[in-house]
Amino acid sequence: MVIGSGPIVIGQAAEFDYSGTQACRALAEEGVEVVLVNSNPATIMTDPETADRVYLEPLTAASVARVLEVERPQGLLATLGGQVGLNLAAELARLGVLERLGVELLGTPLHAIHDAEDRERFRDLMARIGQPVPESTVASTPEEAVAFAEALGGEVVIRPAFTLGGTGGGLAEGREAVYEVAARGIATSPIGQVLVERSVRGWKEIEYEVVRDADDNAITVCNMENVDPMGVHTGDSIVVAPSLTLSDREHQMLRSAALSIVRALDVRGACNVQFALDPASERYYVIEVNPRLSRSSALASKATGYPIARVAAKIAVGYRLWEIQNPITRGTACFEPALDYVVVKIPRWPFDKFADSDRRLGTQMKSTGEVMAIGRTFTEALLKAARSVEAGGVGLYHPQLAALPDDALWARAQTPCDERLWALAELLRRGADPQELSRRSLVDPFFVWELARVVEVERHLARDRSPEALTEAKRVGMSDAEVARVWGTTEEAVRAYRKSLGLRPSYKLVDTCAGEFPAATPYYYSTYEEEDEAEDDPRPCAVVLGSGPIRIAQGIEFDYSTVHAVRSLREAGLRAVVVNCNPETVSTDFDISDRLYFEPLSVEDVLHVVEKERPVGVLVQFGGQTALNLAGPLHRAGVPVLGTSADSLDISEDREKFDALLSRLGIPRPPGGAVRSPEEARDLVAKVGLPVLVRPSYVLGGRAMRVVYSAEELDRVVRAALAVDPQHPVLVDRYLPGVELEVDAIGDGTHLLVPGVMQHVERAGVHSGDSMTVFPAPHLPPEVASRVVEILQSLNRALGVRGFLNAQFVVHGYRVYLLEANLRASRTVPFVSKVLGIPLVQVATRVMLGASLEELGFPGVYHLPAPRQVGVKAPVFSSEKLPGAEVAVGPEMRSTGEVIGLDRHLPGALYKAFVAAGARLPLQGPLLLSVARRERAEAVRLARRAVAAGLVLWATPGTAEALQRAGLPHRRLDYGEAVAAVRGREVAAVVCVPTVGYDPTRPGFRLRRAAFEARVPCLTSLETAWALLDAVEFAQAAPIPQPTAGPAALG
Amino acid sequence: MTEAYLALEDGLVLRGRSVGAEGEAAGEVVFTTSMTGYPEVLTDPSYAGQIVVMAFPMMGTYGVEPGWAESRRPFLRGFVVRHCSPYTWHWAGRIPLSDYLRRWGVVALEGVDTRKLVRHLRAGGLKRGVLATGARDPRELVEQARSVPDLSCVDVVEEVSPPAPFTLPGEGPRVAVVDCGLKLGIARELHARGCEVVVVPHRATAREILSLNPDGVVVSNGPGDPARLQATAREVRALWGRVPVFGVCLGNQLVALAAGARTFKLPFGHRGSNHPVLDVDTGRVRITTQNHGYAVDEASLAGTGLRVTHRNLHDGTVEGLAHEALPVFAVQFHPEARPGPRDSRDLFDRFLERLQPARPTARAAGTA
Repeated sequence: MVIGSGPIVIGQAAEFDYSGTQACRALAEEGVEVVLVNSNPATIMTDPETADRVYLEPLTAASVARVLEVERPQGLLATLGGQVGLNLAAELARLGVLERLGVELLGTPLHAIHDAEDRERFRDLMARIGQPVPESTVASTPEEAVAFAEALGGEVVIRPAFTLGGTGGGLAEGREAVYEVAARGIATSPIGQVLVERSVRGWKEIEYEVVRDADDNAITVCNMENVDPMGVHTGDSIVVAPSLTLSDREHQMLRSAALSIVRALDVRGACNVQFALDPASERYYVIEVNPRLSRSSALASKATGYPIARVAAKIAVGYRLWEIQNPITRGTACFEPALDYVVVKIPRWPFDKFADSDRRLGTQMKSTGEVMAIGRTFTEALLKAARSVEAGGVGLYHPQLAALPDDALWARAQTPCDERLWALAELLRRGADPQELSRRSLVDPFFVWELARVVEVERHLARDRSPEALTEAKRVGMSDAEVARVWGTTEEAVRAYRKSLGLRPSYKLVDTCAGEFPAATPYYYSTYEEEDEAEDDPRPCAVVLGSGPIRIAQGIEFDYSTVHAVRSLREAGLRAVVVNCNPETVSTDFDISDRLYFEPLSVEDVLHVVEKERPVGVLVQFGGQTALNLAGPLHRAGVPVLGTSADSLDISEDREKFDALLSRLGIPRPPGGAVRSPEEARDLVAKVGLPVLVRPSYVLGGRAMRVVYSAEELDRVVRAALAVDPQHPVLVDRYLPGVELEVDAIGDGTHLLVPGVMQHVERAGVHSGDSMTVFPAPHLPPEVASRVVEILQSLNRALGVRGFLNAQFVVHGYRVYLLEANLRASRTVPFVSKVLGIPLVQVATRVMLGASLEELGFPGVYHLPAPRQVGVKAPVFSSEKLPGAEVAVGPEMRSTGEVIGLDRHLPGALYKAFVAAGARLPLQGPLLLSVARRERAEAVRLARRAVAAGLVLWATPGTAEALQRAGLPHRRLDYGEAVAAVRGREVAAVVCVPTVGYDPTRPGFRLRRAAFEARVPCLTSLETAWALLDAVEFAQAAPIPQPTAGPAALG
Repeated sequence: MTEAYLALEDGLVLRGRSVGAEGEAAGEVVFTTSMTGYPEVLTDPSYAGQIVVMAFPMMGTYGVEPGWAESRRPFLRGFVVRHCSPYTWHWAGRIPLSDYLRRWGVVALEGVDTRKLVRHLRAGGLKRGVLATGARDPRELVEQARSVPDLSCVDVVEEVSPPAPFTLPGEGPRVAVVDCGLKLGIARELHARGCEVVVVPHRATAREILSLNPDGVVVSNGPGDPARLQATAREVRALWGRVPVFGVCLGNQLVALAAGARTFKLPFGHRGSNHPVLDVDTGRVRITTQNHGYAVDEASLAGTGLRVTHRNLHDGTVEGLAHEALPVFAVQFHPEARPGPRDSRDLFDRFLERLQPARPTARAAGTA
């Protein structure tokens, strides 16, 4: 049995779908029967093709134990599911479940996991083998932490034990700071401990990926150097592979140390070892060891071409390293990859969504995803990564930073933050001394001088537009867009000039061996050099655009869709060519597509691939907004866009054109309009009435979106929204409370495939990505269902849809309003596919290739039969990792991942969804209520049901008054007491519905943050609370039924 | 910036920029996949007579520190890189690579498609080539490349072997090292273990070596075709049974030749820091540094008393030998690393362990 990693949260992203899927396939090759447990539906790992039996069940010890009871596997492989998998295995062993059921833990033994994870045991082991670790102590109280820090002097780093991505940790100096960070860390650690350690901020941070077998053969797959020195979590650092500033002596010293550590731990599989290296001597410390597959191992795999997860899986079932084949060269896997290129990773941070959060980077990871780029030199890879990350810059130029004064840039250069790379470049552009920049930023001078080299090329280019100057710019890694910025012209003009010179990239192979052996895998990157290794293949192909870095509102779901599109292209007899830049994904695994171009998803880079491959067309519907945004430019460049036409895509994206279409079709949508000033907003609101939904146009995932209930608030919110994007108007729509419905239909312009209707648990106004979603919708009135389908069909015909048609509706009164339509695969496609057991993407891909739904067996308006089970999708948030951020759900999406609850009946599915999302159900209470005035009547109804279910109620003053009037028993707390009770985990769950939201000075905001930080379930909408009560009653009534495996693979 | 060219005998010409000394260099063009350790590569005498192409594109990123050198100076003919970092900020490597290359008169080329070159050499075998700076006629350079003498026709060891013996003092066993192009790393490893290391030229006879009264003899690495060193091989043979012998790289080939076996030229050699070698006796694999263009012909080992102890997992070639009866063993890879993994430093310990039973009181007797 293999344990997956569950929902995507900060510190645990798509990399485990990638490694888990690769490992499961490696096991299947050996004839091992694989049973998989994972609660994340948006994964390839949970496809019926990946394992023999798949359980979409919560990843709790109790739930996994039930699956073990049913399946009785011989072995358990827990090192593929990140920290979640490892912690589960440790707990199952501790509870005696593994022993009782005779399940052997495969791969790295439990004692090794404990030696690596338990700080004291790890330090003892390092002392025994003579490996240096920073002076440290384990503290169970903030006072202990302060005492140690004071004795040591200087800065300390505080990390909670057993958490993901360093959650709740931080750097601190001085009594008060140490106390505060330690207290937070102790609260987040499941064992209530923090490690307080001497800070080595500013030292080089170097990582090694090691693989070892049970026979003690061990290799390092690669090393990686953090451009951001120690002090920034490696997940938040810009990383280069291989190391560039280490001498062979230093590299071999650390490599040998890594191997001896992995040997001492008795790791059997993959392991990540992190070191801090003094930039001015050969002194080093061992910082951290992760005896499992990790984000770093995924990056190392993609950086080298070496399939670490596959090899680790084979080791787990008993192979020796040298008996395993390296599928790239067909030689042995027991060797160390040699690179003949440079890889750069840049993280992707969610600060566009969490503008209110602290953007500084430290030991607590804050990024949601990352991009990787490959080039022949550091600057080439760095510039490619900078354009892959879609952070609003043009290469190393960021307009927002360019507008800042010097001191603001120096502040960003000195304090690690998400904008530092662009700040450094901007300062260099203004003539800052690289030496001083390095000294003040602690970034190694080598890297600062490399940035200076790029700036120097920019300067040269500004004076010289010769073919030689352009060639130099392309070779240093600059895109046409960057050249266009320097020249003050358009990207198209630069492209035309460049093409007239015959200047195009060539493609090189990632082959694990720096060209020493012939390689069999088609994994390419571009560079400006002589030889092009991507040979022309006459067989027809189609290009699938991936979705780039994992970010809020554009997550792993899109990689799932990309992979399925690839599979169906291959089934249709076409070569599938993938373009993507996210190293954490299945779509960028070496054997998924016929050709993988590890390239930025920019117009220029995609056009180059298209020119190289001459595909029948490009599929843009699977890679989220990133891919969809390329449809127009590709279409204008004469590239066939498969599926729905670029013109129709444009209509769906353009508010005015879309509104015109809807009124022509007679499809109602909430009244509203576009405004360019607060005055216009006031006039509009006078017509449509309050409340209204305010959002900037042309942004993803409801960024800066708010529901506004009062005229005073309107002004502030409209101003804020205008500030986000001054180029475009702000949209103000009447907010219609009601039940929200969603459909992922597939259309071919004539026929329509309706897989069923989803219903959001929360009312409209909560972003669909943050809503709990039930599929199929329970108690859907037939007239509503038929109206929904009617609207879909009308859009299908009018827009000539070929492929996905995702639409969201609100039922207000007895009327169905269309809220939104997306002509692409949506976030919910994997969820719906998993509940139905039918991969919708494959149908959509066939339609995009030209088949009609009728030909595929879905004539007319075809309704798929209702599934035998009910699915509930629940969002999972990472807000505890982003101090200062609002945690309440609203129109702006904030969740990072999702889980599924599957059961024959709705209450069971709700129960599993809550449990899988990490909520401990409040079976007795106390349930703390703190509800905005406008919803108190509803809150009283909820309270009555909670009391009937046997829950004890606590309430903050206003809500308490309402309960008092209703005669419901409760305990009244003022806000101070409420926050303290939450911090002390005296309450089992909090229902806190905001009056305003986003205002850190309000008591409700503090209460919600306290709940998130103390990991007390916190529901910020009453509908979610109703659903929770359903789940509570289910759990109270139960024995929990035995889990059943998902539907078997089709065909 | 001066232009520079690399021309191969088969007509391939690459144009780039000169980053080393001005002038011209001719030799066998080889490539190494080591990602770090360019200072060690530059000073490894085994590259004598060769133009070295670095497969990893970013070179010079941590400068050069003279103490990292593996011999008294660079012996390679020329150096070809994709990118040579113009600056260094490393605390130890304070000399920029291009300064170092100029200081030692190494002709070097940057800015060329080195991956193309590597793939070309891998597919078509190693080629003779000419590296030249300044405005040149490529066709002329190709002609010149065709007239470069084959490495198997040159006594390149003569160039690198020291003129006279020298000694690193130590209190432990006395080890004579036959220097056929010795990497200092070998001497340093022995010295670090307390040995008195006496380095002798490759022309030294067995009698001369034995007159030093050594506890053991190491036959070093070195450049060129081992088949040209039959005389040295005979002297190595004469040591057998008198004193434990440990051969490294060329030393491994000389041990084989000494026993009457043959060597052959590999299509493009083994050069890098990542080659897996299986220890036939233990079933364990070590990652090794390799730098050799020739290998021992396994079939020719029959009846020589030598057996294969190590094998390359990539192509199955012989990576280590041991005598069935005598204290003679050798490895084709580089246990001293530099550059490369330190996985095999235990071989020096194993060698020293063999010295003890052979002549347990040799040093004591010598000093008494």
